[in-house]
Amino acid sequence: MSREHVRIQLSQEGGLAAFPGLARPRSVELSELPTEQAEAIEHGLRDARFRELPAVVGGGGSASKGADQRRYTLTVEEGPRRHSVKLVEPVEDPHLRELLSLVKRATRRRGGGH
Amino acid sequence: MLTRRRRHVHSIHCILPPYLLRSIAENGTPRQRVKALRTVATDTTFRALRFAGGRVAASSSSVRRLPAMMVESQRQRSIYDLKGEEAFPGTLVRSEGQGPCGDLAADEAFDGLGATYDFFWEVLGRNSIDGDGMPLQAYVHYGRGYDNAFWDGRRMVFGDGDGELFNRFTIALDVIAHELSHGVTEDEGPLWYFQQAGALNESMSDVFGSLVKQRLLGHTADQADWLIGAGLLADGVEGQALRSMKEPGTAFDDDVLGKDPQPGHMRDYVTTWEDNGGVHINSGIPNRAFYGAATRLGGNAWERAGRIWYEAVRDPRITPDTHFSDFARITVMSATRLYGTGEEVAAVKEAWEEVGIRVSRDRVSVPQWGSVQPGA
Ligand SMILES: [Zn+2]
Repeated sequence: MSREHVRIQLSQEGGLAAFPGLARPRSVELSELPTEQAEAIEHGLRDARFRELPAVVGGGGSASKGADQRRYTLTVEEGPRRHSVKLVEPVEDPHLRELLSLVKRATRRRGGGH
Repeated sequence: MLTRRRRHVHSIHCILPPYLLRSIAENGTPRQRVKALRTVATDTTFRALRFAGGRVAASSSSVRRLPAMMVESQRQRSIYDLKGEEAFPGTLVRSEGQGPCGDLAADEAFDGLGATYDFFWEVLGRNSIDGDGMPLQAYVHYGRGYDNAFWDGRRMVFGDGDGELFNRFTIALDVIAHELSHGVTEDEGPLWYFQQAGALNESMSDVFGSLVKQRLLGHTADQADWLIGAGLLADGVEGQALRSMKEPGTAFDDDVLGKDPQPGHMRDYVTTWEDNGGVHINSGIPNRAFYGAATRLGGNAWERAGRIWYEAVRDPRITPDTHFSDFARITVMSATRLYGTGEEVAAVKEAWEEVGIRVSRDRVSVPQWGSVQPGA
């Protein structure tokens, strides 16, 4: 699949405070990224077997306990294909954690002025 | 009972059986009441006694958990370094009795847990998260550039922040106290972490978080900044903190983070499915009510307002889906129980009224603020 048609989208909710700016889905075309970064994400998707993951991953502990934990929704669109996975902290798979941090970095660009 | 009394002969409080303490709590002077309640608060059987209508209830909790009437401080802190991993258990870097380990986040967590433990013990007579000396475990350096801190049901976890939006999460004492207080609320209550009940849970953590900081700094209600997480936002971010209890909605307005979404009045209540039904959003309303009560009373916020809120969250009438209006009524009853019908109960009522919740003699009402359903 050509890099031209791959779009990555990340949204997050929960966490110690509500940040509307971070909750808003942020997306990036792989082709818009520097080559090195785009390749890293492609590898990350492969290593985490992202396309094979179920709709919800992680969470670990009991649902009725805990507070301030964060949830992410990571979506990859490749042309007509689209796969979306909800990641609940703590995310235990190291490949998936790596992918998440790569995508976070790629989609969270500060606007000018800062 | 006999064994308990024998074990604690050194303290005058321990000579008094619970029913007598309860009687002081109900009929004593305000000063006696607070003293008696402080003592009884360390005994989990009090919850059963208080609402047994004079009958001594054989509560299962009194059997399950050997109550500590008066014990010495049982601070037991352990700080673990996760070294950038998100996998537990990490490496133990500092435990109780040891001096600074040299890692800034670890030492901040250690000191923060200490200040929070001391607050609950010295001000509220509570021995740790579970009231029974539960060891405190904090994990620092969780993940790489991780922008969060959380309570996972038994431990507190802190990220380093990405440095661009957030600094390390141990930088703010009130954030450490916020996380530990989640443990207290979870231990005390059945509150769901969802919608209004979840926002009350969040608000309790902000209340205690702020009080721990205020007490350490020696700030009165007027001197306190009433911010949560001051110093946590990185340079260049347009904002001063995560939340403002004094003026919800004004803590930040940044091109990346967005604008602080907290309402400070029921008319602005946010109905949403995100953030567990807006638990970190609508907590602004009870936060501001607490601020209002504390500033009306003046002086140290932890002395009267803090105690009233603490008694309220321990009230057996707290149910999983407690709404703001239920909680408001319970704080009014707590104020009356602790201090009689004086300025305290008036301050609490006025504070709730200011955020759109009216507690009258026998009922509580939320005037129609748009689509808000008081019982929804
Ligand atoms: Zn919280």
